[in-house]
Amino acid sequence: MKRRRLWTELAVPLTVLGVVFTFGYLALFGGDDAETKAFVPPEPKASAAAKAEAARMPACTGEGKPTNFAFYTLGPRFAGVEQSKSLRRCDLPDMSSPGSSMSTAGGKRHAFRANYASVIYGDCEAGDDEGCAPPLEIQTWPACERNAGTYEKAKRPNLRIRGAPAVVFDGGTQIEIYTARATVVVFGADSALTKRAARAVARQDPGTRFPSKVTAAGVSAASRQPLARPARGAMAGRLDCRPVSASTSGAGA
Amino acid sequence: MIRVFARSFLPLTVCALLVLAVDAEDGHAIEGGRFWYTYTKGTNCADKKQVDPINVVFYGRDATAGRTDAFVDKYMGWGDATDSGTQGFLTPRCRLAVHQRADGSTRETRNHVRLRQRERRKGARRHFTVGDAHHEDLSGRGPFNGCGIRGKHAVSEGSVREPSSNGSGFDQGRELMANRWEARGRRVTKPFKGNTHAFEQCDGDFAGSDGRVAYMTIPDRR
Repeated sequence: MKRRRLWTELAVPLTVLGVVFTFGYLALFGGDDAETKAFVPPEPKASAAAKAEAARMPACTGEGKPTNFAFYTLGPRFAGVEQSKSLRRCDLPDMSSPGSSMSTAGGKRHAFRANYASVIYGDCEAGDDEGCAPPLEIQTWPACERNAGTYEKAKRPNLRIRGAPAVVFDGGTQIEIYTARATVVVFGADSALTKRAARAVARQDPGTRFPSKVTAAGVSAASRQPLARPARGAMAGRLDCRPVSASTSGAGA
Repeated sequence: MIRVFARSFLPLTVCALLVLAVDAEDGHAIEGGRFWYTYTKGTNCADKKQVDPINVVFYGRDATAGRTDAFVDKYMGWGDATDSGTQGFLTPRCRLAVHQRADGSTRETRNHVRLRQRERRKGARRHFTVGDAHHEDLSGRGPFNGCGIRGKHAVSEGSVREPSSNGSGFDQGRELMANRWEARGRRVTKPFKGNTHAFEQCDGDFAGSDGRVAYMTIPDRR
């Protein structure tokens, strides 16, 4: 009886306190001003060439969905560092202005986008207005969208990774491997780790879900296989983007 | 015959090659990967301490950092933001950004750029000033996230969950500047530099550039 009276007496103050706390919290922390200065893209003025290029680009596959290009991973952990994040990025093609046409070693490109599957290893501590680089990142791009010829001056391979040509950037902290219809970009904290990671990448066939749970044993076996040579035209930036059909996706993609 | 060639053609050939070498010092000739990122202050631009991708280059006979800063103010209407944290740029020596511009304060969501002039090669006719343009959200205000109670700036990710031609916060910042420069009749090109490394932000997002750098001209002094 006494207990019931106590609850009845406490009910009103507790409710008031709850309401005050909720409104106070929302007032202090809940305001989202992220949209106040949102970027407004200009009116699209895409040329016919840009539209044609964009139409040939492979469709964007979502996170958790099967990819339409092979991607590469180091498995659940590498060199004592756990996989911390997977990121699937695929923008709409940028073809909005004349300035978006791009001089590449393979010729002029009128439409461009970032399209990659990224597996990130390890963690770091970001500050205010200051991001931080994770110890390892493996990005895989379709070779028709990023390759040695995407740069203004074609990059000449200066390394071979399990038989595939590769280019070393940034004093060894970035290595790009050109294999089959994929470009694998390895970013590492130092050149030794980057090279080690580049040598250990394991291919996941097109149609594999991204991200996928790859076992360490599966990665170990795949990382001993030689890497396929780049598809014809990939090194010079002349590889056409075409949808990869199921029949060709196995070996070529 | 050889003597005639040595006397007349050789000096001419050497001169022509020298002129070509000077001409190669245009905006697009800057190469070398580590150059395309900024570095944490006080780390002497060590590899492990990369912070932002460099995504804008201003160039021209008078494209000093001071004049570029004035043009960012004029074309973008962005105010002085030197109260924000600075970062190191390889110029090619490791040097801190001196000029910063933004369209909001350190406590607001905003567009922001740090600028640093590259050291000019002897005999080069142009100056280059580089920057890390980005759109940053004042993120995660509250006690239960990585951005702290007062919130911190975080650059947005641009993942497949939100497909948009705007890309990440780095791409948005670059595009905003490139579009304004184009609207003012300035020459803009966007070659691919491959600096797509993703950087973890305080809200747990990973933001990276799409690898392109906008080269924009700064008008010569009259």
